[in-house]
Amino acid sequence: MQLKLFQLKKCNLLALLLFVSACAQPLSQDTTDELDALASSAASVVGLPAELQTAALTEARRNQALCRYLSGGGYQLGADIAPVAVSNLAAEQSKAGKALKSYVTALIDATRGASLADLEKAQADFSGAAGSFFEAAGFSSGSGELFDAALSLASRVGESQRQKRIRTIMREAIDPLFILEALLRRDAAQTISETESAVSKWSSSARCVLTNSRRSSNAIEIFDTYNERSTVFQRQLKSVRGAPDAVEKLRVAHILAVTNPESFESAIQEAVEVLQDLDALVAAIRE
Amino acid sequence: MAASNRLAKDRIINALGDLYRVQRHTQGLSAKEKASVEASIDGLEQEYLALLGFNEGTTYASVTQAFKDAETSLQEVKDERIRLANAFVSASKILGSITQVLKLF
Repeated sequence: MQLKLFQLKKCNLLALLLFVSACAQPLSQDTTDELDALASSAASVVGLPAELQTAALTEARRNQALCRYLSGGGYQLGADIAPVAVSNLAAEQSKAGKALKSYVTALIDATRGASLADLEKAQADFSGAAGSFFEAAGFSSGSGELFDAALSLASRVGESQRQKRIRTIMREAIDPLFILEALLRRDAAQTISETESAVSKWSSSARCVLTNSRRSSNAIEIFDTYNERSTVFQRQLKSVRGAPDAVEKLRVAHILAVTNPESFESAIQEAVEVLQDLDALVAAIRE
Repeated sequence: MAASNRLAKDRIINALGDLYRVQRHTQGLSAKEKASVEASIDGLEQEYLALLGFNEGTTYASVTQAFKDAETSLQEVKDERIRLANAFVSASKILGSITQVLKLF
């Protein structure tokens, strides 16, 4: 009777374990790597106006000093130390962009299997230690197996609860994503105007340097360098224009993840597919 | 009021999830049907923004704080795993010591 009861308990536990295991697997490495790259890039676009304005204005200041030097005018050394002032709007967007990027990084970290793998290893080691203890203490091998199954089940239930919490956090992140997208669309014209103005200052300063470098022996090299830099700035300006759409994709990805009734992996995979539509943006940002 | 607000938001999110899925798999849908799906999505998104109280005075600061709070919550999930793993490691060491003692008898 006791043996049958033991077998019944073990059978139920194992069945439960299999069921919960199906719901609590860590995400595959491919899925988390993809989510990492795409979501991080989408988050980076928000802070791009401030980055672009800083780069353009800093280089413009340097070019202006160089131009004065090349044209025989007065010049100052060591004037590059002072930070350039980006617009208030760009500064606010930059803070929001950094917070979004940190959130996305934390999301990847929490969904990635690394901390789960460490936990599973620690649990497996404990299970092994418990097995040795049971043997040394004179318990039957069945007791060890039952303990192992119960421990695994408890761990899987715990992990399932953590994944549920992650989905809840993602659900709560949808509200600020909605607002951020709306803010970026509302301020799009001003953002682009201010950033274009900074790039335009850079262009004027670059032209000045190029004009005064025509007779240099490496004039072609200098031209190519500034030409390439101009292309990068133009590409990044395009990314700035695409910022509201990038946040929209991130928002849609979140909504799909939290409304997906399937496994956690399936929910995140669906989010990844949405973010793959950002390929062009990702390529531009990485220039 | 807050509870009914939350309920309305959840309903919209669920509806949007279904519509986004339809939008992403539009083979077989007519142009009119696609337009109808898009119009439904636009309408629901605007309704959700209204429920969030978005207006001309909304600033980036509230968004920044919300993402920081979400990051903190996610860090807590990760920390919980680490604490559990550490507890297992400590327990394994203790059991190991006891087992060594038991083997002596």
